[in-house]
Formats: sequence, C-alpha cells, structure tokens
Amino acid sequence: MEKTKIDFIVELIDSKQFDGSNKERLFKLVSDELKQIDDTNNSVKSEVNLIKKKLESIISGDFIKSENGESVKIQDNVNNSKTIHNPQRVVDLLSKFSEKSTALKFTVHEWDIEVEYKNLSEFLKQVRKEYNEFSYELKELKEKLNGKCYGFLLNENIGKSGWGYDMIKAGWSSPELSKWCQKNPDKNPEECPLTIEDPNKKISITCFGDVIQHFKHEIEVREEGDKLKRLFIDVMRSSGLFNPFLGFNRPELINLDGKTFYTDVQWIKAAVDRIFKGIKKHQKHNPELADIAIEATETNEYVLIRIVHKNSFSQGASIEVNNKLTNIRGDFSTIKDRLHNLCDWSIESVFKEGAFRLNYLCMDEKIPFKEKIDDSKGFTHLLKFYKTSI
Amino acid sequence: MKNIVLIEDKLPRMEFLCKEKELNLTEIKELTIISDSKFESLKKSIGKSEFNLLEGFKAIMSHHSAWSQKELDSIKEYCKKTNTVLILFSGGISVTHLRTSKPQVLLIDVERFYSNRLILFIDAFIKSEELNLPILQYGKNWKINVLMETRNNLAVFLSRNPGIEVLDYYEESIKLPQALYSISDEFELDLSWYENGIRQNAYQVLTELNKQLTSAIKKVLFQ
Repeated sequence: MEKTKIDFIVELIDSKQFDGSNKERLFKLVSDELKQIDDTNNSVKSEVNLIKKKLESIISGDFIKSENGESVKIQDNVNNSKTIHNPQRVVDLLSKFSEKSTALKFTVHEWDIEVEYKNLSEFLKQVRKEYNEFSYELKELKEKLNGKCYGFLLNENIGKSGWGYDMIKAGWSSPELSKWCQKNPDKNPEECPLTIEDPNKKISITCFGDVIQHFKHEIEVREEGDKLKRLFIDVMRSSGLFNPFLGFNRPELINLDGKTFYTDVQWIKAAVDRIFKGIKKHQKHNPELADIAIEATETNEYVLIRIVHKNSFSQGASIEVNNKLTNIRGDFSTIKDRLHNLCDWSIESVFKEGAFRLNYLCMDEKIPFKEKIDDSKGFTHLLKFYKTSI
Repeated sequence: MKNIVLIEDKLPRMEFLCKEKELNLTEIKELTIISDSKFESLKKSIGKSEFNLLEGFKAIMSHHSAWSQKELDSIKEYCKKTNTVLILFSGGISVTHLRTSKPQVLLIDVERFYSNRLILFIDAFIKSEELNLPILQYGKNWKINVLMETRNNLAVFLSRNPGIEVLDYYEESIKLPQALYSISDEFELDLSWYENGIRQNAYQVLTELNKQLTSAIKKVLFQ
C-alpha cells in the first residue's frame, strides 16, 4: 500500500535522523496535513448537505417524473416558483461579520486591545472555522456573494483573480500580508502597505485597511457616507439620468439618508442599473415622462425602497395574458436573477385591468403573485431589504 | 439635571484610550457613564423597548457595536421621537459622518471620539447648553476647518475639471462636508447648484464659490 504523509511523519519522528534541526520542517508538514484533513472533512460535510438538500427537494415535489421515468426539475417561472428565495437568511449570515467575540468580526473591524489571537496564522485558523460553519449555506443562496467572502477571507491565490466588482487582488490570506505580519508582529494587519490603483474605477488602495473598507462597503449599505443615497446617485449618474440636458427633471431622493442593511452591493447596483436603463428607454419615446422619485421607508424588519417613474403606466398591457410582465424575460429576468435572495422585488402600475402589484420575488410565500392595489403614481419598482433578525 | 450619557460596553478600551490621551471623564459632573452591570440592565430595558433609563438626557453617546441592529433601530427611533442627539462611536467606522437633520446623528471612529475634542464638546455644552456636533468632528476651530476642507476639495475638483461647463444634479465628487450646510447661511455660500445642477459656466460658478469660501475663511480668522 502507498505510504501516506502521516506514515512519513511518523517514520520521521521515529527515525534516528530526527533532531532539533529539522523540527521546523516537521511542524510545517504536520500543520499542512492537519489543514488538508480539515478541508477534506468540510468538503465531505458539504457533499452530504448537498445530497440531503437534493433528497429533500425531491420529497417536497421540486422534481417530477418525466415521461421516460427520469426526475426532472420543475422549471422556474414567476407563477410557480419553488426556487428558494430567502433574503432574510442571507442578511443573517452576513451579520456574522458583526457578531461579538468572533474572529470574523475582526476581519472587518479594527484590531483593538481585546483581540486575543497570537498571530495572523492563528487568527486565520479561527476565521476558517467560523466561515466554514456558514459558507455552504451562503453558497447555496448566493454563490457569487460567497465567492466574494471566500476571496476576501481565505483565498491564498486571490492575487491572481481578485474579488468583488473592482476585482481587488488582496485579502486576509494573501501571502504578502502573511509575510508582512511575520516581519511586523507588533503591528496591526491594517497597516500593511499595499498599492492597488485603478483611476477608471476611482480606486486607490494604499494599505490593507483600505481593502477591509472596500469589502465592508461591498457587503453592507452603510450609514456613514449615506451609502444608500450614494448608490442611487452613482447609478443614476452612470445611466445619464442626472445630465440636465437629457430631459429628466431632477430626480427626487426622499428619506434615503441613514439607512443601513447587509446585502451584496455589487449586484444591487447592477439590478438598479437595469431598472434605470428601462426607465431611460421608456422616456426616450415619451419625453414628457421626466419625473423620477426614489423613496425609502423603514420598519424594524426592513427598508422598503420605491423607485417611481411618475405618470408612466402600462395601461396597454394585460396581466391576465402571458406577456413580458407576467412571464418575465429580457431585462426583467436579469433584474430578478440579480436580486434573487438579496431582496424582495415587486412592480406596481396601472394595467388594462386596473392598478396591480406584481410580486416577482417575495419571501412570504402566502403573498400572491398579483395583488390588486388602490392606485399607482406611475410604474414603480419596490425593493424590500430585510434587516438582521438575530 | 441629566445632560449627556456615555454608554460603553468595552470599559478596558475606554480606560486605555482615556489614559493614553489623558482624559478624565469620570470627573465631569454633566456626564453620566453607563457600563458593566448598568449597561446590562439598560440592554435588557432597550430589548423591551423601555427607555426610562435614557429619559431626560439631551445627548446619547454610545459604542455602536454594543447593540444589535434591532436595538440600535429602537434607540434611533427614541432619539427621533425625543429629539435627542445621538453619537455613535466604533472601531469599525472609517469615515466620520454627520447627519444634521433631526435627530442629529454623528458616527465617529473610536480613536477620534475619545480625544480632547470630547472634552471641548462637553465644555461647550456646559457653557452654552448647545450640542455642537461639528466640535466633536472638527475640534475647537471647527468652522475654519470645515471651510478649509471645502475649499481644498473644491480646488482639487477644479484642477481636475478645467473649464467644466455642465454639472449634474447632486455632484458628489466635489465632496462638500455635511457640516458646511450648517454655516452656509452665516457665510452666504451659494450651494444651490448641488440640487439644481448647472447648465452652463459651471467652472465660473464654482470659482465664485471658491472666492466666497476664501472671504469666509478671512472673516473667521479676523473676527
């Protein structure tokens, strides 16, 4: 039988050649092997969970028997969707980055006098352990978001690929950070000098602390700097809606200050960009529809954002027949994909049959797809972002 | 009379920073410090939406991470209802952020919070009974600091955009500090372009603002 690394380590210890001079090599071998065992265990755990979930979905009827007897997944469509949509859970998983007494919290928080980790390597071991506890679930719900977290926390090769919208090529497991921390054991990792510049994206990173800040703003709409308002301003500007010559009046931004929630900012921006492009396209043929209002309201459970293209209606369209609104495709399909598991998404408008709300993504399964409403001020997108429930 | 309350769940950090910066907060009569068991009682009360322990304070200063999001929301709601100034400090806040609409809110980095500015802020309150958040943000000479910061940011924008003709609505890249709005009337600064955009001669309009800022700075310096 082929010798394993463990066999080799045992032999090395028993060997007469083993003395203090090669203990460093032994320690490295042992630690590498233990890490690999840990990873294998986690991978097995993930596989088992995946099989379990698939079995559950077969039992719950997500799969049907086709004519030739094979299991076939029911196609996802607006009216009969069994796809898991649980933005609340994604928020709760991301809120682990602010959970007290965790290593995860200190990946996005200044290391102050309470940090007990002896060195970066010890710290990252704990980070890996905590991340592994929720990464499988996050991957199932929002794979790209999980990839972003993994890239920032644990990917040692992140220097080649990068994470997030700006493809930041540095993270907690970057070898450069590890080397710097070894040389500067008394210093805070945030101080590690790094240079990442991209004038096109207005990125200027000079130390690892900047990388941390960048990540924080990718997983949370933060209160400081009124980031929700900034998000809409940025996207409207890049869509050209702020140019006084384009024909739009100044968009009304109502109550967007001070709102905060966990999400994947990159994909929210991408979805909102599609929404504004749709508005712009519609206004091009109807120049009189020049007014947009964006308003946020808040409860203890959620932040609700209404994007209203005033006086723009869908009176020609019927919600009773299959059309691009009831059987979504094109831009709406892209928006749905981007917002899936990040927020609830509905539209409101006046249709041939009257004013209705169509709930494309809704966490509460009891709420029907079509809801009659009293009135609509114009074609409205509603985005409901959940707050942490923990 | 109750005045200002400081809620701190990380007492060792507070003691460390106060010692390092030679701040003696416990001697300030107007300041009530809630920590340890008192903090635990307060947390239980807030969890039940009971605010009697905070009633009567004009300003609440608290460690941001001491609270869950739900607890923080209810504290903000309480401050809104009672028009209480809220100051939240944390090691996780990178940019100081001031909201001037009621209730006033300041988010500030913990190292900046536990500094001589805190003493100046409390002293100013004792003297005038006014809670002047820009003092905590910018220090004693806050007006001059705000004006200088604006002028510097504007100069950078103008140098990067020579001869700019049109300015979009809500042009953010000029980076106007929020505290500027609280003194714009006093120094007759024209900031209407931020909401209205500029359809022509934007460079001239902003150069004019630059001149207004320069005379405001002179006015403060030679007052």
